[in-house]
Amino acid sequence: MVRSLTLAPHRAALSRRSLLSCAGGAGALAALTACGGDSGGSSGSDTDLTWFMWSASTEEVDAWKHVAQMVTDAEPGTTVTFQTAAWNDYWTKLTSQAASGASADLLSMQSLRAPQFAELFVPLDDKLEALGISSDTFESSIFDGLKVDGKLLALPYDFGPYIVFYNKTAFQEAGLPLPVEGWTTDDFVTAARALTTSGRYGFFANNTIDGALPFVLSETGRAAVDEGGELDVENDAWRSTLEWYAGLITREGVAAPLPSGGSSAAATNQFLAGNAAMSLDGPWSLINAKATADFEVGIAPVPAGSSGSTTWTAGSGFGVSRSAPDPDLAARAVAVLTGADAEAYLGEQGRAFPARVAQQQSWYDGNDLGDARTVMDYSIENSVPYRTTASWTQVNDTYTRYAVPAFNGDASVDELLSRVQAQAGS
Amino acid sequence: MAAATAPVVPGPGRRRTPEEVRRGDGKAALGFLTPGALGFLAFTLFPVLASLVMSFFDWPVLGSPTFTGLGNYVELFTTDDTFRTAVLNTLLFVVLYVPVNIVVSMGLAVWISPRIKGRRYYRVLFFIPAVTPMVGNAVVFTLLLTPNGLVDSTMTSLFGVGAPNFLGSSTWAIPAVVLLSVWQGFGYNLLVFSAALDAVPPHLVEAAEIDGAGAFRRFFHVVLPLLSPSIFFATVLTLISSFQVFTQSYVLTGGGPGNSTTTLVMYLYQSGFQFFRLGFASAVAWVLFVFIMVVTAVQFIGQKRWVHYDQ
Repeated sequence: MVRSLTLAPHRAALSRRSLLSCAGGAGALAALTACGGDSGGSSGSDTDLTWFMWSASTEEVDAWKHVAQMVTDAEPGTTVTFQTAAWNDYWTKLTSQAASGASADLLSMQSLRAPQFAELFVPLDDKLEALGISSDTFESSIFDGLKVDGKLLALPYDFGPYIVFYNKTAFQEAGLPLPVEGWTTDDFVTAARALTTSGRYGFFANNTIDGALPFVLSETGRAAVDEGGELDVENDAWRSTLEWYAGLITREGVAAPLPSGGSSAAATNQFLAGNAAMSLDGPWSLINAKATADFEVGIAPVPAGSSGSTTWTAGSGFGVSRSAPDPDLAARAVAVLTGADAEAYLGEQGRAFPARVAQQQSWYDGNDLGDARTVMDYSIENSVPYRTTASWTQVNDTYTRYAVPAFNGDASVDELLSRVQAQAGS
Repeated sequence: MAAATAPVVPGPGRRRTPEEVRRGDGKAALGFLTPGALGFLAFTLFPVLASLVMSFFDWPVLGSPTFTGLGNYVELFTTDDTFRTAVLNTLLFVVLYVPVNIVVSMGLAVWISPRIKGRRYYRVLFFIPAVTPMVGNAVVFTLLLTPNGLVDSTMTSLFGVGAPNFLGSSTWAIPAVVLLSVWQGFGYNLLVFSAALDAVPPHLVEAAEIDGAGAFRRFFHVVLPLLSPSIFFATVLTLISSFQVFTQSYVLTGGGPGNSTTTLVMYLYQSGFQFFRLGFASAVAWVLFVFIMVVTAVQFIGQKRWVHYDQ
């Protein structure tokens, strides 16, 4: 909908018109010069590294810059320039930079998307020994989660299990027992019914695979991607669980109708606004949730179904771009960014639940999280790494859009699953 | 840019030959045109040609391209259901949006065209949506249209019946996208029509009045034909921009629910930047270009029948 501001096709005075076109030309020239400037990408000097990472606030940016400074402290003469974009834009920008061969030297990667972006990274496996990094200092699920075809693409900095966030104040007001380890899907539905009042729903269902997967895992023990790495959702396990899940909206009326295909953040927002008493989220959202909500936020493990309580874990890390001029220096920088000091700092600041086991305590120490530790330990113990495929963006995008009519009762769960399964080969 | 060095002002007592005039002006023109032409070459012509070349390749973001000939186009027109849906959605949007936009902007322009009080302020007021960023408008519309949003809660408290789930329903999503587009887009055409209405010679309207024509007849048989060049201009631009609809559905609905608001440009974006198929996305772009060119050409041919340039 961009169009020029040319007004009506009426004749203007010639002198004014030529003046305007000159001004326009000058403007265009200025725009050209501006375009030639900041284009991101690799840095000129070998000791100046660029690091591309997503962020959502200035506090986050400050924390990442603090960690970048640690690289300069460890490698005198080396500077790390921090570049950032919002979460969704990060992936678009990473894609377009990769297409033009101008990636940053250090790239950030989420485990779910690792298979899709694997070609961008220099494998780190044969550098670990020289860097003095031992894999067993990291949580094994996320260390393995950043491997594609057995090659380590990035070193993890954070990780976490998907868990239930609940409105503790609402639970207490309704006289309900607080959800703890061992609570079941039936307990969950009972609580959702009791918490649904006018203007508030007991639960906010999610139109992402992330939100449904813990229920499928707990009910049937099956994930979205099988042991062989193939997408496998068009089966009875997914069908029955998603029909139950959609029923929370359509039959039970204890979950809000999904608002739109573009609203993957709706669950978090509606929960924080107090419009839904329970939603699923990860520990990476917990500190912000506690600071934002005007009620007490509690966390609980995923409710146990026929296969027990099982959730997924995922996380993110930093790796070396194939376009980095000095991969060894970049690898040393990555080692610092994911090192014990950086992890302790990020944990204490509440920026990350550290992927390094020994530093996880800093997350509890630095933030007032109450009983979070038992829930986190239980959930991590009862979790599987979130496996994805190289076409995960297509799979996820299709699910996100088709889940809306399927869960709102305008279309069938069968159609959703066959549409998603059709993305397996693309 | 080097200014023209040849003397363009002839000396006294000597007439400039036509050749000299041409040469002198040519250099000056070159000087003025070069910045724009360079920009056009670098940022318009080159990408346009590059995308044409890319559309004949399987061109992934990562990895090397392979030539597929017409493969992308064949896929689009034979096996790709989403493309067919995107074409239909785009056409539906155009058919709903363009007439509503023209009627709304013309209606409001006519309403503020007599010398009513505060007319200039109305013009500014109506133009504000056109200059506010689409993404911001879309976020506001999301808040209005979402369940428990302003529309829903107002309807519930007034009538006891909630509003439909506009953005989450396959039926209502396209009308919601059209609604936002009209709100955002009518101000521009309103200015065009408003300026054209001011240029209608009063004596023609007076003559018609003396001849006994009523208000209805005066408007449709005298004023409207005089506005036809402006209507043509507005329709061509509105039609072109409506074929390129993207931001509205990207922010409001993400192309969903299902594929119900996936437009051609939305599909182009998804193919290129989410699914990493740059060659395929280029093919979509070229098909869209041909669509727009054909529709615009038809309009230009058709204008002879209804656009009157003589007053």
